[in-house]
Amino acid sequence: MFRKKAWPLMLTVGACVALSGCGQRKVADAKEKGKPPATTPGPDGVAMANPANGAPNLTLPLAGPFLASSKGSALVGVDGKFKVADKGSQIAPGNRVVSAGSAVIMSNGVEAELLADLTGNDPMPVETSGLTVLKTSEGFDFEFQLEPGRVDLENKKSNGPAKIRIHAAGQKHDLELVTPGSRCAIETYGRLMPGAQFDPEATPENMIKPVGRGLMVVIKGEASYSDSDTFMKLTEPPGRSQLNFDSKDGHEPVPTHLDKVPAWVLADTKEPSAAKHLAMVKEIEAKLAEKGDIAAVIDEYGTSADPAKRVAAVHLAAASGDLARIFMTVNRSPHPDVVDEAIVAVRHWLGGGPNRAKTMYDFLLKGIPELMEKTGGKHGAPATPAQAVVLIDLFIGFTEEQKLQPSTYKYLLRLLSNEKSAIRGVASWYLNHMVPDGVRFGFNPNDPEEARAKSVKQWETRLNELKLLPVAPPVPKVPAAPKKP
Amino acid sequence: MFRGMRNLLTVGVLVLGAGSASAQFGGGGFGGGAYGMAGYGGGFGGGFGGYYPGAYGGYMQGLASVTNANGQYQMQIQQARVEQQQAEQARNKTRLDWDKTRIEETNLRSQEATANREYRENVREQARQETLNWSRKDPPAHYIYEGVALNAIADEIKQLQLDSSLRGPQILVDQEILNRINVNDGTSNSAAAGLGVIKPNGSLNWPVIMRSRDFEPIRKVLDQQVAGAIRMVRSDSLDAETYTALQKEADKLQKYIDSLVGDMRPDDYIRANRFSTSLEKDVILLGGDNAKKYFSGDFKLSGSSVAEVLDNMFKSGLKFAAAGDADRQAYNAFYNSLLQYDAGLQQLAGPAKPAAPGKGPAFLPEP
Repeated sequence: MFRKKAWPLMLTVGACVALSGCGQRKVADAKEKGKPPATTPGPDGVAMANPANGAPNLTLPLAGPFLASSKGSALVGVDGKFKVADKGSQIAPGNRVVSAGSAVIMSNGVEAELLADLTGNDPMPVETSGLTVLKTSEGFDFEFQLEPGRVDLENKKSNGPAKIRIHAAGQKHDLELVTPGSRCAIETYGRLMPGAQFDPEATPENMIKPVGRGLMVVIKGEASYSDSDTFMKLTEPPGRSQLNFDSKDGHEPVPTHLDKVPAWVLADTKEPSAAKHLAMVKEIEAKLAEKGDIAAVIDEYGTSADPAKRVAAVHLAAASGDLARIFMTVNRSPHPDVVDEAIVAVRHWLGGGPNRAKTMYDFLLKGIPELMEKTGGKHGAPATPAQAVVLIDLFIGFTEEQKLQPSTYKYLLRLLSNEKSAIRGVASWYLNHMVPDGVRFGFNPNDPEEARAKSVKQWETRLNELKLLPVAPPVPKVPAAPKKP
Repeated sequence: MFRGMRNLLTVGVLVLGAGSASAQFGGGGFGGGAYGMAGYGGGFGGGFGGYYPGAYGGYMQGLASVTNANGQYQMQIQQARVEQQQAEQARNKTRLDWDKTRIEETNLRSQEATANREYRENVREQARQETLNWSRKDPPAHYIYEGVALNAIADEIKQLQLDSSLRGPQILVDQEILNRINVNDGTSNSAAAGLGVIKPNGSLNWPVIMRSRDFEPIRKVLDQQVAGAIRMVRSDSLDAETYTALQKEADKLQKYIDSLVGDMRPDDYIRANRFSTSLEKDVILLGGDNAKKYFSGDFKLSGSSVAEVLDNMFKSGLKFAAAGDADRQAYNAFYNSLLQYDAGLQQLAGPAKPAAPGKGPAFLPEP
């Protein structure tokens, strides 16, 4: 449901962060991108970026992975804040790289391309792609922490295998791309299980953790996979070409035979709808490269008359982990689709890592001073701890059993009149999705109370008609006075 | 009838027409002149009126005409009668046909009704079978907690025991578990008919979220009032004041929960609201005719094994009712015991007879 709605947005997001050649999953393109502005010879004959050349406004290390794609194709996070990285800029360990297009990172002959679900056919709801670069362990060419999204890895060395260590779901997964040109695609998705309860006091060990699913497909050549207790040889199709991961069922990967490379892996970017969005993607990329200020681009596109641009703004904010910007975009925009997409974006963001629920909790307690100032204190005020917990639990969602309970609908109906607009927005989003009609009754959480009250009344009537609210007990009869003996 | 009238009218017109003709003949004869040739000549000179010469000729001619007209009249009368008879016959035939059609229609409707009844029975049977299958194999949690799965399996066991006179294996059950299984007389729906949150000893099964300090004042009042009301119910002396006060307090609890909605996390609110709704229903049951039975042991499971428990239930006509939040574990445990017993009984009874194939709607879809 979310995927269908969200995929065009992802194109847009792709535009924001990964522009030229976005979605061009071709080795030739990657080769072109792989060239930094100036290079010096590195080990294994691999070209290395020259840090002195075209250095971005980041604190750059002297060696390590670098961005091989154009400026604006990736957002690189330093100390929790993201910036538009220049082509050739080096990425220090601990930095997050986020993209929804075709950001390319090169590291010791390994090309990592962060891709988007351009055609909407991917098996998982890929909103944005990302990874955190880690310090490369001895014997490996690239090491990173995988985030939800799609990453293609290719051995770009002139000879010999390329070794990659991937951290995901608390495990280390080692991948060896055996021969030059060997390429494989990895797609992952994580989310907090519906019904999970966020505990602000939880320790890192017992805090709620997202459940992750993953797929690894060998597109070309050979690869070998190993973890703490598994070793598997994989080849390009036909053959044993796919591994399936599911952290809910343990970390044991399940191999699958493929006759050919799945269609979703080789996305057709010439498809008319994809091509149409690519044009917009390029526009946003140019804007990002020109301004270099993500917040400015989000603010500009968040109030655009073009729905695709509005949605792109929300996902761009989520991709960069800028929660304040998401709330501000929602507050400024009069369009309900921005509220909807913001909720989807936050849900995806929460599933991207174990600490994110706590990060959001702290953020909600602080409030958004900038928004408070702009709205005269009407919006953006710090939430109480109880309100913050309610909002995070709402984002996590309801179990199937809870969705059957009339009390759940009553709860949501009452939350439509909550003092926090964010809680009102999420409650209306759930009602909109859980009630068969998919109606909205014109409810906008940012509307004044009088306007909302009318919609709430309509919601109540409809929920009563559908018998989704608790049935009021019949009028009780007063027992007759006891008979005197 | 109209057709007969039309015939009579026709005859009448003919009769009048005949009279007029004879007058013309008569007039012509007499008007031809006096007697003899004068008349003859006059006849020719005066026109056609003088064809039969002489007054007698004219008279005879007139008489013949009258006779002729009379004959025609009689024939037409006869014809009209024949036609009337034919019309009557046709009418009778139509009536017969209509009756036949009525009979056929009635038969058809009867067949339709039968087919629909069979169809409904088939649908009901299919639904029952489906519920049973779901209940036996990995049912959704609410199937167990609402008593649906337990009742479906118990009904099947009852039928199988009646058909085969067999009993299943000895599966022991703990009385502690049985104490937590709610039952009722099955006369109303399970969700409303079992005491959900008031336990037989008169205490309330407060969910954890409502055991906090915030709820302490209202919790204390309700604990006292419920205990007092149940003492009265046991002795058949529940008075209107106590009952009304209890209703008001239950209503107050609901309003209090609703006032906290923005500060309660979803799961807490759902549990609290479910408790409050159950309490309101329980309070209504306390004012009902069967209230005393909930506390006298009539609505209580007993037996040391599944077979005994079921026998006691069947004898008393009891059904499983919905579980309170604190009873869920007991429901799961008893469900597993019931499932073991059911599987053992099926094994002893041999393969089940295949169900009659569903006929489906013969004429009409399910109304």
